[in-house]
Amino acid sequence: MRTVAEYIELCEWDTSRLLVFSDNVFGNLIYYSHLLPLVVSLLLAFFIFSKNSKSLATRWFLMTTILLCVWLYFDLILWATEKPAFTMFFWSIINMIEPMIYAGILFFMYAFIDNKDILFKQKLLVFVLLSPTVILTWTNLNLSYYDLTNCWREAIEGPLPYYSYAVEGIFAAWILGFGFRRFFQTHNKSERNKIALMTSGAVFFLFSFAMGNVVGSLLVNWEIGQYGLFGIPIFVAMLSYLVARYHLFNIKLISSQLLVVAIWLLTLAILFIQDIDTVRNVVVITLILFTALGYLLIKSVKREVEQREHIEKLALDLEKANARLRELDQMKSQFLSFASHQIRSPLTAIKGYTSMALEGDFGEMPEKIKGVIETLDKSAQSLIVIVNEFLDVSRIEQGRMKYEMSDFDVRKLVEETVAELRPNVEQKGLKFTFDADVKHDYRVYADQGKIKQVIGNIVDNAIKYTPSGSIDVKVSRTKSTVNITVSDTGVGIEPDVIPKLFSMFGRAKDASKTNVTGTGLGLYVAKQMIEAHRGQIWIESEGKGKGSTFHIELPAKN
Amino acid sequence: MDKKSQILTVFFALLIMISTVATYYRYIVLEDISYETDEQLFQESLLEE
Repeated sequence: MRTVAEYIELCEWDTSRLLVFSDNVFGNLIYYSHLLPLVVSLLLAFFIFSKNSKSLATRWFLMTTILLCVWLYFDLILWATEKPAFTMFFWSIINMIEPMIYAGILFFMYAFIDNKDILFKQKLLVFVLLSPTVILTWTNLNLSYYDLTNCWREAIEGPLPYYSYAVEGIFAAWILGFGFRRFFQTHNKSERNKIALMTSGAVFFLFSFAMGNVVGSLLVNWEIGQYGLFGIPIFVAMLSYLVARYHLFNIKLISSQLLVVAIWLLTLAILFIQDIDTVRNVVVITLILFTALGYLLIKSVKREVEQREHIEKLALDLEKANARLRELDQMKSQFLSFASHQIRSPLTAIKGYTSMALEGDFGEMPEKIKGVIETLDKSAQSLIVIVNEFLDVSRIEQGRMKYEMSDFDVRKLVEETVAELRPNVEQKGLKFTFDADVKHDYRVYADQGKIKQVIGNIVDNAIKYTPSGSIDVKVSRTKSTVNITVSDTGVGIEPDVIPKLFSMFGRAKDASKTNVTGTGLGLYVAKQMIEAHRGQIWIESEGKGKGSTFHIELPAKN
Repeated sequence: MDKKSQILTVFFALLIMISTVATYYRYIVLEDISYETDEQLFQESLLEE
């Protein structure tokens, strides 16, 4: 009866160096099938992680890849080691890690597609399913014994690995089911592509991984399984590409780096292979990798060139369109100016004659005609205001607005304006107040005519939009400014409308119900004029039906 | 990751560590390994090689 040591001695196994290098590994293909996926996968996962370390998806991706690399390294140790203790230990750990890789891919899928972590209940279920494989790792249920009926350095597995394969099957089906469900729930085409690619990438990745393991275990032929491992870097590359693509990383850069690393590794590997069949296999795999990565690279370069050309064309078109718009804008302003001037002259004549007629310059008129002339006079006046607003806009747009600056007292100017408009206010039955502390100095350096126009416009608006109640005008003073405030108890303004009122043709939604003739240019012109004086104009209103307050602030002349 | 998930993950990581240490202790430190031997099969295997 031989002892264990005698059996081992008879097998004449080589002593491994650094755990993984020994003659026990038949052919360099094993190194190639393990080290290439290990290095490429780890590089890719760290690269993706470095680009977006805060993303949950990239974290799960990195964690899963690390587990995969540990699995690959430990598997390589199994090929090389001559010590039964090492075989039993690393084989046990490999069996524990394996279903975790499936779980990692599942978590990654949830994080990537749903952009959030898997639900706690689901995570609990995953951990419960994984628990037996972890808790029983060290028992005979995992590895029953070390086989010394031959010199193959193998452990004989117990029932636990078969439970692991079942769990792996559940996880793979879960991934597939989740992918399908999300695919059919989504109607966005791009989102669907993303889900389809990611699910198929994940499934193929697991299939490649299972080839090196499940097939080997079930058929007790571990060499067949080696070829499956070559698929791992391809699908890790595919998953990385998708993570990168949908996180908008620089795809071209990733593809280029990946291609360089892969070619370097493959060329290096060929140096160590002496067997012609293995060289052939390596060349085939090199070709597949090269084709896949080269295709990605060429595609991304092509797309980038096309995009650049498209952007250049768009920029050119935009430039032409802008030039044309500027031209049209200039023409519009010129037309506006020309038309307004042409209209204003006859209007002034009409207004002059109607005023003269009403004042009795052409003798007594019958009452019936007088009423018609009065309507004509009011209409001519409204048209003159509109035409003047158009002319002001045209001057502002063309930069031709001229300001005749002088020192004057704002209080007096406002008082005059108020006095002029008082008959209109009283005619409407509104209460009209004016308040200014006479002790203060209200002098400003500005264009008196323009400021009067603005104040008149604001007070006129208050009259138009106040059906009942009062209008209060106040002039006050701060250290550096003179402030004019016009408050009314009118229709008020909705807060979301306020910012639009100072834009060209900006009117409140219901403004036309109260004031039919308004053009929406008055406040735009007022703002331009006040800002030209380095002043400010703004509105405050608590909302519809709550009145409004207009503020004008001008730099004081000290 | 919410608090419950974090606790679960930490618990599971601890379980993995304990299991790894137990496995290491059994196989590497104690070298508690069951061997399957069969003189006849072994001889046949040697002859095949």
